[in-house]
Amino acid sequence: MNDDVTGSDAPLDDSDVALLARVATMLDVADPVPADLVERVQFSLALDEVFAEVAEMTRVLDDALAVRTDLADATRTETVTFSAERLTAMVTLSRVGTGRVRIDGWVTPSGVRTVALRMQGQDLTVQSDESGRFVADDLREGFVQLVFHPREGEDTGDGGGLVVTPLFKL
Amino acid sequence: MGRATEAFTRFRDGDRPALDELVATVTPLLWRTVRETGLDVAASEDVVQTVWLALLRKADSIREPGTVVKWLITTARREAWRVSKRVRAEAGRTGGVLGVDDEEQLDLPEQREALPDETVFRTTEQRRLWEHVQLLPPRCRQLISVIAFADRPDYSHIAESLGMPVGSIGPTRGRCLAKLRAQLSSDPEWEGQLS
Repeated sequence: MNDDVTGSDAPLDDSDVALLARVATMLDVADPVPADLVERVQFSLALDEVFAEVAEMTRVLDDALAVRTDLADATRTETVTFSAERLTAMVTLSRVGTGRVRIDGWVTPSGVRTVALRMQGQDLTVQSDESGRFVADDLREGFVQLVFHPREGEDTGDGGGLVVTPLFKL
Repeated sequence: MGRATEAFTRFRDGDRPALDELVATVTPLLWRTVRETGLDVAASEDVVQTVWLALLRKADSIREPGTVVKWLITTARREAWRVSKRVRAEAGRTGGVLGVDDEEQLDLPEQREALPDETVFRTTEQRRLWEHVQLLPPRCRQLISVIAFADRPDYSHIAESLGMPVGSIGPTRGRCLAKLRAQLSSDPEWEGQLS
């Protein structure tokens, strides 16, 4: 590399490695990795099934609306959308009491399918109706990962047609 | 061989717990990679998770275990840009509805981190080091911040996946690290030792 900075051609030595370690320590203070992120990732990877796709997760900015209209926490809702090649889903989370959450979901293409909810210390399976809607009520606050199963009779191909989502907060 | 390559190799050979080790080892580095693209904390958490799920799905397609860190960083950057584009589009729509002015919208994802509250740093030295890292050209700042969480055998792969030329860091110090050292050594307030 053609360089104008003195010392850039010097071999990387222990003092460089020590300086980088100090940068890491400083960054750990300035912008730490969220405390339980590693555990949450490990949990989300501990799936028993092989899956075909990871859905792209998008948070819809209800938050901006909530802040501006001063909605009380009790009535606040959040919407998350998921998109994968074989399906898209929209999930609305609403608070139904202290520390309890309700999920209203809608998957397309519509049809009866199993939706598994993986939660730390609690697993739940629900069915969507013909129109692709599903509900899971009175869930404990925490994190959940959704696993969408194929509709009955759907050609699943590789990976059993399962679509998984990242873990998201209830 | 770096710890990541070693853990990934074992995972590929059927050792399931090695995946947890890999996650613990590389997540700090991915966190830095994603945060350096300007995404907020919540969005960055989602990206990091998505990247790991993608690895679980695609592990077999990574032929050379030594490139696993590179694969993870490249995937993380691609996913971060996708999300950041989406966030900006959403913000545009919400802004239109709510009458948020342009200036506020510009604040959205590409904003640099403001100086953390000074009390977060335990020492003056940490605060100075933060300032010096911020003063680096953006690509150098990214490289240094990500490399700081990596093992030495992975340095050159990381530089490459961040779009830096070969030789940016590795056998030699490279321009970015030399620059940081030069800044520190000309700072009378910097009391840390460099050698």
